[in-house]
Amino acid sequence: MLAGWELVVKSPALFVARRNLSRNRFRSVLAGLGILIAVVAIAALGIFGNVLSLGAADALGDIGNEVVITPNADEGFDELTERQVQSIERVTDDVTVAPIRTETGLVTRGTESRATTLYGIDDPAAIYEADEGRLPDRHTQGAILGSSVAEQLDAGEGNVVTIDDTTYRVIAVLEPVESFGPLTADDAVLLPENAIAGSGYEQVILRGEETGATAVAADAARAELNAREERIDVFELSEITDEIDEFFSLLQSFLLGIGSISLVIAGVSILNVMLMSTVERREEIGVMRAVGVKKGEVLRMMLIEAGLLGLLGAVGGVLVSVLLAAGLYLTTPVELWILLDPANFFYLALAFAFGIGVSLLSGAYPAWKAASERPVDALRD
Amino acid sequence: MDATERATAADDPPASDPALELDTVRKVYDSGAETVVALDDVDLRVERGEFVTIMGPSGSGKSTMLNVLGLLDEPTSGTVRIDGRLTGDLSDDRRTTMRKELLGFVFQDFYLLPTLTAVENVTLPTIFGDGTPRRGRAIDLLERVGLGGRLDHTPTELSGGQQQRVAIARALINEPRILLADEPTGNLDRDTSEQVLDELSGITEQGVSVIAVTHDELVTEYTDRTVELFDGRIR
Repeated sequence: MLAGWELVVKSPALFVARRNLSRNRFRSVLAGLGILIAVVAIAALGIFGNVLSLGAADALGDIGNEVVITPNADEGFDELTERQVQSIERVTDDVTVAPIRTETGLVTRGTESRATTLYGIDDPAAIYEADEGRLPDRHTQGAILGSSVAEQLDAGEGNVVTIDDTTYRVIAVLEPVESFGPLTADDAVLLPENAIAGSGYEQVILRGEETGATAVAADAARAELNAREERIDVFELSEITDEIDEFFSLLQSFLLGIGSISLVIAGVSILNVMLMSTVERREEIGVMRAVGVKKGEVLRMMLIEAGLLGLLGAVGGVLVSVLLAAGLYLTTPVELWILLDPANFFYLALAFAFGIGVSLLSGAYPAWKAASERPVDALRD
Repeated sequence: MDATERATAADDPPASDPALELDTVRKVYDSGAETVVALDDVDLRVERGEFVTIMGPSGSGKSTMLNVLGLLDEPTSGTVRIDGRLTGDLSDDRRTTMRKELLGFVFQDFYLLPTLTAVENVTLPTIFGDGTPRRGRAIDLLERVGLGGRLDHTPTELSGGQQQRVAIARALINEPRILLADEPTGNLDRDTSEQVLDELSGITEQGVSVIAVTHDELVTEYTDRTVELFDGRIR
């Protein structure tokens, strides 16, 4: 009771508002529930969209930083020459240029054998990571197996495999590639460049630390080699990732849109509750006005009521959203760092603020209506 | 809270001023098609500590008069002086403050806030705005009207007579000059009515004027004077 009395002294409007909400507890809880659901909708959908987007970005890995240059087959070019590769190296900065020769071949170990793609690559360490063994900076001897080739042949570092009648020692096995990339090597074998017949290259990969650098390099290569004839095709993977990003931001807006609709509905339900409340309490408010409570104080009291409903719902909504996110973490392979992304907390805060904001906005009209009715009208039967 | 504080109004303003004065007050309701004259040049003077009953048939202008006296409604013309102060042309907030400081209201339907206890209801007019909530005085007043044992009861836990006595205590919390009562006994049986009227005439002994609008002949037995309204005029 003492706490109640302190509240009377500090904020009479809050005191009376709180009593009013407890008068029709069920209705207050229902109105708060509306806001709760809306806050959960916005926070959960926002977080869900962000988790999807981050998860996809993670799976796509670094492909945004990669450019694949291939000879333009439509114009009759079927390989890139040593000179062309050198020009590409000359005109580009801040990117690794990895020319690759491609062939298909049969890999055999003991009784197992399978057809694979063979990549002739001088510097595998620039593009791939080893799971077993070490990738040389200059690949001069031995074979590097893609993860599924190694698995199928049950081969590891130190084993010997036969590829098209030549015997190689396995010097490394690549990490399984989880993300989508230009040269997925799970089903391939990397060999020294000169182990593959031919003098040109089927593709050149540019890889940079930043998307901007690869885009600049791609433009430079295009300008250099396609000046007179369309000799090369340049495939920038960042185009794909840009489109994927665009898709996810669209999805995000869509999800937030759905969340906002529920917030509007919740706002209408608060409006309804507050209007009912002002109609029911018309005489009471008239009496308060008659005994000396000012318009502004009635207004504040009604706004506080609406704000308390909103606060109730918004706090509950944030708690439920956090529980949902925890549930997502426990039941799906979503990684913790994705859930702890700052943007997710931003969505929580956004949903919380909107929940309270919408409640106040919905409470504004009933509050104004209650406060500005003349007591003499309110008290007339 | 001691006796001197309860003695309220009598001290400060010059004793010559009446508690309330209406001077040719006219109230016209213009609803487009027809014009209703609710108060027709009414003059009224109520002295300090006087208990006045206003009677009259329905539609005679009693409620309008009470609303004008209570600063809940403004007259079309004429002046209303409360405690010697002119009340015309005031902002809503000023009028509200004057109601709070000078007037007390008692209604037929009691109009207690159902969410508040007896003592909270009585304290209500003091909790908003400047100044400290006067809980001590509220308890005092409730004891005076015989409800000292029911401070923390809510209105639904009180009988009609008890609720009206809570309402009287609420009307007195700010030490008003005038207490306005609209059918104060309208919802009460005879015994309870007598208790409430005893309470009201007790108040007049402390210098508070009481103006009661009523149909109840019993009220007139307690009052100093009865004013009869008929068609917006005093007879």
